[in-house]
This record gives sequence, C-alpha cells and structure tokens, in this order.
Amino acid sequence: MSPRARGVLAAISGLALLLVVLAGFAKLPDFGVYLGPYGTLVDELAPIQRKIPNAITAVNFDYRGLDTMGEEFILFAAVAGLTLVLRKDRRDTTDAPLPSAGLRGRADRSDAIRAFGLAGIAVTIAFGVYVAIHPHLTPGGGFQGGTITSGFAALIFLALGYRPLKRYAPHQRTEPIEAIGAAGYVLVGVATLAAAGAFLANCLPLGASGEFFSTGTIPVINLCVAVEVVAGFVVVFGEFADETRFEVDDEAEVEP
Amino acid sequence: MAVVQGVALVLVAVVATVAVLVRDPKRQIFLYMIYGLVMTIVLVVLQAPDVALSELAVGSVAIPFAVLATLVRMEHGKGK
Repeated sequence: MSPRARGVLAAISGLALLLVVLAGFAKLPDFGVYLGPYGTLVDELAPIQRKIPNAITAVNFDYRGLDTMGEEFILFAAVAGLTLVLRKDRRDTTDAPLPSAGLRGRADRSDAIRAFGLAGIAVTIAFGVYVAIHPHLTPGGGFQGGTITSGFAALIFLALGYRPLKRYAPHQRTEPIEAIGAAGYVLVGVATLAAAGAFLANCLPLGASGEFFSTGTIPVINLCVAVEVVAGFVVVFGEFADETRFEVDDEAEVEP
Repeated sequence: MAVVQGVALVLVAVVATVAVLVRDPKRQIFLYMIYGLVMTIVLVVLQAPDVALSELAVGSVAIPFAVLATLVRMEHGKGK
C-alpha cells in the first residue's frame, strides 16, 4: 500500500472513530454521577449481610467470587504463557542459574543502592503483607498486597544481584507455591459446594464487623489469591532476570 | 475537591503526552513510572483506593521491571 493510500485510509478511519467517540461521550452520565442501582444496594447490604466494612471486597470475593476466580486464572495463564515463551529459546531451562552476561561488575552497585534496597525489601514486605491480609477491613487485598509484596524480588535483584534472587526465590520453589494458591481458591469453592450446596457460598461464621477474623470465607479466599499473586509475580521477575543474563561465553562470566 | 481532581487529571494528560512524545524507551519507562504515580493520585482523589493500590504496584514495579529487563536483553543479549 502506498503512503498516500495509507494516509487516506487513516484519515477516513480516524474520522469515523472520532464520530463514534463523540457520540459516545455525548450520552455519558455527568462526571461523578452514578446511575446503576447495584452499587448502592451492595453498599447498603454488604455490611449487614456479610458484616464487612469494605463493600468492594464483598463483591470481589463473595457476591462475584466466581469472576475473581476467573481473573486469578487469567494471571496464572499469563505467567505460564510468559514462562513458556521466554524459556523456549534458552539453552538451560532448569536447575542451574544462567551464566552471567557480564554486564556489570561488583563495583557498579553502590553502597547506597544496596543499603536502600535492603531497607526497601523490609518495608515492601511489611506494607504488602499488611495490605494483603486486610481486604475486608481496609482498601486493598490479595491482588494489590500480593503485587506490592512481590516487589521484594525486584529489590533483591536490584540491590543484591541475580544470584541472590535465584537463591532466595528459585523457580522450583515459587512455581509450586503459585499453583497451591491457585488451587486453593478452587478447593475453597469445592469445599463450600459440599458444605453449603453452592460454589463459593459464604458458609463460615461471619463474626463481628471490623474484627480480623470475620466475614466468613472472604479472608480465606483472599489468602489464596495473595499467595498466588506473590508467587506468580516472583516467577515473572525471575524469568525477566534470566533474560538479562542470556547467553555469553563461559570465560566472560563475571560475578555480580 | 473539584479543583484537586481537575489538577490531577490535567497532570495525567500532560505526563501521558510527554511519555508518548519521548521516543527513547529508556527515558520513556521512567516517564511511564511517573505516569503510574500520577494515575495513582487520580484514583485516590476519585476515592478508589483499591484500584489505586493496584495501579501503584503494577505501574511502578511490575511493568518497569519487565521493560527494563527486556531493554537489557535487546542491547546485550543474543538477539543483538
């Protein structure tokens, strides 16, 4: 296709898109105006039905718990797919860490980076776990907290290097943990199906609103999600860290 | 509150535009991290703290890590 024809095609499609977008914007509700009844109902009912202050979590892990299970397996499939693609053209796919690419020597990582990186690991894990285990009481939950917590792997890589990352979070360990988290969600569903007759029915005692041990199955499911997300992201970081090491002659190896 | 929301939204538009206009991926990824941070502020201002936490973690840790590792691989790896 000639550049001229492309330009004409782009102009026509751009104009058509603009018209659709403008028509869509014209019918939008005003900024900040909520029309649907569902959110308002959940806001009113969740604290009564489930003794939960955070209605968003009630939707995610209870009323629409099945949707969240699907989302969890989207992440699981994405991690598996990424691992498949990245490992496909690597020589060594299993046990030993890949050889160093010799990109940076020992001296290139300053004391400041190591000190702040190590301090950051502690802060990241503390904050991430806090966010991850309080989904029913405060904003956040297994996904958000899990993603934040997994930042510790990125920090280990930045502050200490590749080999410590592979030592503390080898994929032989993180992959089974991720699978356990994913499977846990389904097992909770099956258990509630057996106990209460409905998949993911909230059949545990609800407890008192605002207590840590309350809202029935919600914290249990959330814990499965947290485990799955932390391990999943650590697997991803490990795979990308492997990519930075790819394929050098053995004599060029440099310790990080 | 409307003023704060307006400022935050304008900031997102500015940072997003700059991130697109800068063509060097190494600089772009840092602008993307700033974009993630500004987007987090917008979500907090709009009272969506759950989404804000997701954006914070994914936008300022996960994606930059993946992109930076990919850039290292492209510059130094086998496929150079």
